[in-house]
Amino acid sequence: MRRAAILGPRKAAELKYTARMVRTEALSKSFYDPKKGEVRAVVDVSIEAHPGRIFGLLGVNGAGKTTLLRMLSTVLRPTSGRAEVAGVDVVADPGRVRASIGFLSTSTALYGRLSAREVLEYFGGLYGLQGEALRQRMELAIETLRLNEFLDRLCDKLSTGQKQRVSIARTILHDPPVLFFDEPTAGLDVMNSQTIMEFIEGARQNGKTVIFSTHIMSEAERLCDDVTVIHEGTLRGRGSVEELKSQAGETSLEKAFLKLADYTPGGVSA
Amino acid sequence: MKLIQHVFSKELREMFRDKRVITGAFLGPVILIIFLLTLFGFLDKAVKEPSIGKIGVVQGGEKSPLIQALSLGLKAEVDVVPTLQEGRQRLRQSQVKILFHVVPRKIEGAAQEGQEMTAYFDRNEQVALIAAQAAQAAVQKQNSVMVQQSLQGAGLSPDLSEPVMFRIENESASRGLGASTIVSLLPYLIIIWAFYGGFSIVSDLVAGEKERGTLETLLISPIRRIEIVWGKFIALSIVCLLSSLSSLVGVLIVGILPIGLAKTLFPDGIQMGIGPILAITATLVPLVAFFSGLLLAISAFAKNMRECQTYLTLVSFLVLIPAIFSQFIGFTDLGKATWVQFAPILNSSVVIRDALLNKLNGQALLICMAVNILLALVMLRIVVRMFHREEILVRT
Repeated sequence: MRRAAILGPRKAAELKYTARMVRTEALSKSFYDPKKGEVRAVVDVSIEAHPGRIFGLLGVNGAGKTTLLRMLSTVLRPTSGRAEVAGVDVVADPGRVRASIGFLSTSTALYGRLSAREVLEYFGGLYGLQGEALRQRMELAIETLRLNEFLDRLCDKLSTGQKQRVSIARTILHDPPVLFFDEPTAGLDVMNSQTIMEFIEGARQNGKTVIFSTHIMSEAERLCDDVTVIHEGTLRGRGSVEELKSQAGETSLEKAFLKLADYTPGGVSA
Repeated sequence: MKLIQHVFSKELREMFRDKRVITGAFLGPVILIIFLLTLFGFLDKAVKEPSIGKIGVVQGGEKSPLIQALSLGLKAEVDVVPTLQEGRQRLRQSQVKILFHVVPRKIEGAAQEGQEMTAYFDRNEQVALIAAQAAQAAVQKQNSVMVQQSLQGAGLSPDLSEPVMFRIENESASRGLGASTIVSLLPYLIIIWAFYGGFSIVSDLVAGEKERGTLETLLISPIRRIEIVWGKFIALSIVCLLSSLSSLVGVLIVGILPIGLAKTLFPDGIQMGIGPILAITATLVPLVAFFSGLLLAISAFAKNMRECQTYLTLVSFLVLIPAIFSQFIGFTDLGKATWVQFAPILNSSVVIRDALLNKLNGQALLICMAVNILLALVMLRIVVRMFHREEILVRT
């Protein structure tokens, strides 16, 4: 019940199911590498994600998932194509896009010399929360994620699980309608992974638009309503988990993924 | 503005919780200057009142009034040696620092008998050199007295012994700290710590945030990148400024420490006028802004903390060289040269030195401030540009 509260009112879910909270059209990103020359990290990717659903990005390391999420969160500027988040173009108005998203990944750390409370106050302030509004959102986050026991402890002194709970609180403090999770369980133990996955399921229940990037098939099968397979920067398949299996003519998502990613036995990818 | 203040408060809070900042930026300069000044004070005292231990005198010379005066003046024990050869042997064995050989000398027409005094010592022994110089000064004085007595005896004016008189009058306008011998060292230390104060923390500010992944979280929030830069820049500038002023705190501590050094180092006390304080502050604030911009640019450019430390070490030489040179500017007339007024770091050192000496040149101060403000703005612009270049900001 409390988990539902922190994830906000179901205003996002009230949008029509077909409302496209995240949309890309032929989105591409190229980098210049002094050794390799031009590297095309993402090539003509078109996706749509909807409120109340979890959109999975399935791909191996280096497939282009993080680059795609970085473009959607305005950290990287697309080389070509378009992207909209919450109806706002990521290039035209990046500030408004950033105000409507939450981003969580295991590679994003907390400030070690700030306490959990100070981290939340800091990020709340960055998102324009102050005074009573900040206090209310913080109280809700603290209670829901059981942060009270270590709230005034420096983040450097927290356990991995405690840090992860503070990170979640930071991500949803401003009640964003769109949530990006970039391999959020990488490196976590089974208990902490479970907490994250439960949280993502709660976000879906509360009408958030969730984009979840992973290379772990079991997580994708459990969480994702829609899955897109991305490999070497290009889309290789899309649909529900069942649809992907059927597209590839395989019985498991893992096998379907490997087929779509042109995997050849012997460890060499085409 | 509100978000800049928000970032600034968070950065400052984090910095003040970092032991590296407390020890490196604040305690470091205080301890270093206390150590340096204590050393400086003891050396100064040692030069003015050398402790020579024993002076050797070849038998017969120990009764000379000059030798007795010297042994009293140098607080040295007289070691009488039977022969010159034996004395030189003791000198080589370091049993005595200096050996005097006094032989009577007949001077025709003189009222009294003269003496020929030879000092034997190792020129590489500083203390012996000082003792020899003291002996030479005492002999000159003695000669003057003897000549005056001879002139008087001949019915002539004793002033004839010194037809040309030479006097030194101190016309220094500086009082207090400015009158101290450490005035050439202080600008150097103030400037060095304005740079090194930020050294300990700057790699954490951007390169460290890249490495830990916190920068991406910040970039994803609605704050504008220029606001992030300003927040970090102001926090870093405050640490650099406080670090620089910490050297003055060190001076103050030495001034009040009951170790008898204050009188040697600051014969005129350590008070400073409001004018020099304002001039030093006016020089220091834009200089600190320039240093903070430079440090932040390095941190923003580096991929990670290790790379940042490497760049910082290289750049620190660019700061150290003019700062070291500035210590010796008082021996030349370069302080007045126009090019020095435009030379970054060197100009600040000259202005701080002039302010301490109460000889502030308004034009030099204005040029120095303008140069530092311009450099600070250029550095800030570079950092803001870097914060908009994803290939610099997102690379790890």
